[in-house]
Amino acid sequence: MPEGRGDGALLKVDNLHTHFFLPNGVLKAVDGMSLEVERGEVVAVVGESGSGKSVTALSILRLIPRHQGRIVDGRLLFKGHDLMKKSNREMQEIRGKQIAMIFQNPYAALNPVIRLGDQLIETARKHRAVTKSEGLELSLELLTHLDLEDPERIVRLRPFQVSGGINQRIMLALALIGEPQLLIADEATTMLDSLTQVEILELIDRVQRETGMAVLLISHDLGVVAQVSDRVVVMYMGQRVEQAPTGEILTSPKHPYTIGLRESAPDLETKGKRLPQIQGSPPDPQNLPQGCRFAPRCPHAMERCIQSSPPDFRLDDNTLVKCWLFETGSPT
Amino acid sequence: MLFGISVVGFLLMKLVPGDPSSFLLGPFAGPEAREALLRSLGWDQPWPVQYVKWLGLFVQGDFGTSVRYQTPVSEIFGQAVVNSAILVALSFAIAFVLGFFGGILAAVKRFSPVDRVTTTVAVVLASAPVYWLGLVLVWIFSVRLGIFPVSGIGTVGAESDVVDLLHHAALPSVTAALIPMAVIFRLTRSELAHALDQPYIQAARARGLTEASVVFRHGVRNIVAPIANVSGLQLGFIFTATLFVEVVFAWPGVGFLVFQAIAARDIPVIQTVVLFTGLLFVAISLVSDVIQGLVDPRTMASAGAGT
Repeated sequence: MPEGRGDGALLKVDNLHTHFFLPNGVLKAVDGMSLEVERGEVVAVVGESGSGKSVTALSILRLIPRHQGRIVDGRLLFKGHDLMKKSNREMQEIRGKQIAMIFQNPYAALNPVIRLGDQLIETARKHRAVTKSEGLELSLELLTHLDLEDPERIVRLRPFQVSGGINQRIMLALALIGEPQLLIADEATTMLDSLTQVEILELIDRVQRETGMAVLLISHDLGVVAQVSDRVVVMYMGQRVEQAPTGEILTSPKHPYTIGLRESAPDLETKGKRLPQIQGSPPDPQNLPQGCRFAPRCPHAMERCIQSSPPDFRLDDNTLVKCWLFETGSPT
Repeated sequence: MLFGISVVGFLLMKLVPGDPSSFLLGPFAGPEAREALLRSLGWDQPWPVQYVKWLGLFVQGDFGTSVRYQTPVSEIFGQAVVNSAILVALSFAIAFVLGFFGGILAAVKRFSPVDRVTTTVAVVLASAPVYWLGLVLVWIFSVRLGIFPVSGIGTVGAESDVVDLLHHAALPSVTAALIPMAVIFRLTRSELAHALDQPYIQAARARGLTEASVVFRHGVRNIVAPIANVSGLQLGFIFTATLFVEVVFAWPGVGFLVFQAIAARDIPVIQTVVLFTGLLFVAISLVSDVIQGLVDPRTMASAGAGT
């Protein structure tokens, strides 16, 4: 399969299928998802709740709980190595050291009964050959660098004793302490108030430019990620429907779903007007339509869209659209 | 509280029909002999006087003399307490170690055959009565297999040593331990399974921490409080269960002592046991209250709220 980009990519997710086995059937949370992240690149994955963004992220780290679901098909290439073939022990060396992740709810993602400092030291000792006191030193330096005030006091506290913004900085420090080449931020700013949201986002952006690590930014909010990302991948019902440079997504989105997302996001010009919304609601993920998954809600749906699912059409080097309207582009 | 126990314990004995005279003197003794015996024991006086006298001596450490054995109650009772303590300690150790570590194993291997089998066994054990379990164990291990002795604390006539003691203690202590073990097992399994589903466990794995560190440092640490709480309750259960078990296995502990004493209407012994049992339970609830206070309640409150 010819690919314009991604062969030398830092991360390449290829045709990933992650399914959950529920008592009443199979839930295809991720069903044919592909994306690439180049070294030093910031890629945003955007889609509504339930589109499979978080499951994609967890699949990359092979963290889908065994008793719930598993990766049934696809390839995960990190620096050319197949993550699917790694043993659990090998994955432990990759997690946190090469690929780190921060989570949506910083209160829930930190252990409530362990002091913040001890969680940092523990992670530092896992990935850097340091003693306890060196680990603490390293953590304090990193926290200071992340604009945390009075880190010596903070590290002696537990997660419920500090604010969400501070907890998310701790999460970020936990992720950065192993000096990863890829940071996955799964809705990392969603739970925070809008001012703190901007702070954390700017912090990620600054660290990214300082260290040159790549970032996979997962969000349901196009407006949030647009500020810092190079490229946007739009997800709908477990699949990529469009991929384009951020500017292009904002100014000339192609896929009808992306257009709907774009129009439903408020900006300065729409002030006072009722925001347009995407008609209908997403299909039942356990009973997906056989053709294009967006067809039941799409204003441009044709007979063909209901019959068969479109492939990815490549419009140029950087732009892919999974929609029959763009059949003129070459299918990949 | 203790005063109440002492009064009720004392009065209960007065209400029970029969007195030791019939046991000691036999059915053919005349009324004069009976009168003489009661007078020698001080039981011809009105009961409030008896109570004050008894309590006064009790506080000074004089528990009276066993009517049946004609030896000081303190001697008999002391040896029985030591024997019971051995049984309680063994039972609790078995219940806690197997229940706690078995529960961890089942939670980690959730939904695997290991988990299903152990959980089913635990449900059955937790629902069974102690005396029935005792009889089943005797039937399997003593009658059918002949591995363990049925009763007693040591081989008669043999030099008493630790191995012989443990050999005799095996069945009674396991009997008393099975139900608490099942209770601790089930709680450990469900609490840890719940804890392992929390986002902070996934986050700990995402940082590359080893499974051992994830399970023990991040998982088990969050369930210490409920496990400690329930283990304390189970210790109380073992105290009670041991009383029955001692009777079934003729283990010369407090339960066996009081069982025989009741049969013989050996009132000084019964009163001593009742008062000390009351003391023990007051002490246990006091200690557990103190421990509850030490385990910072705010820590646990927010452990739940953070989810």
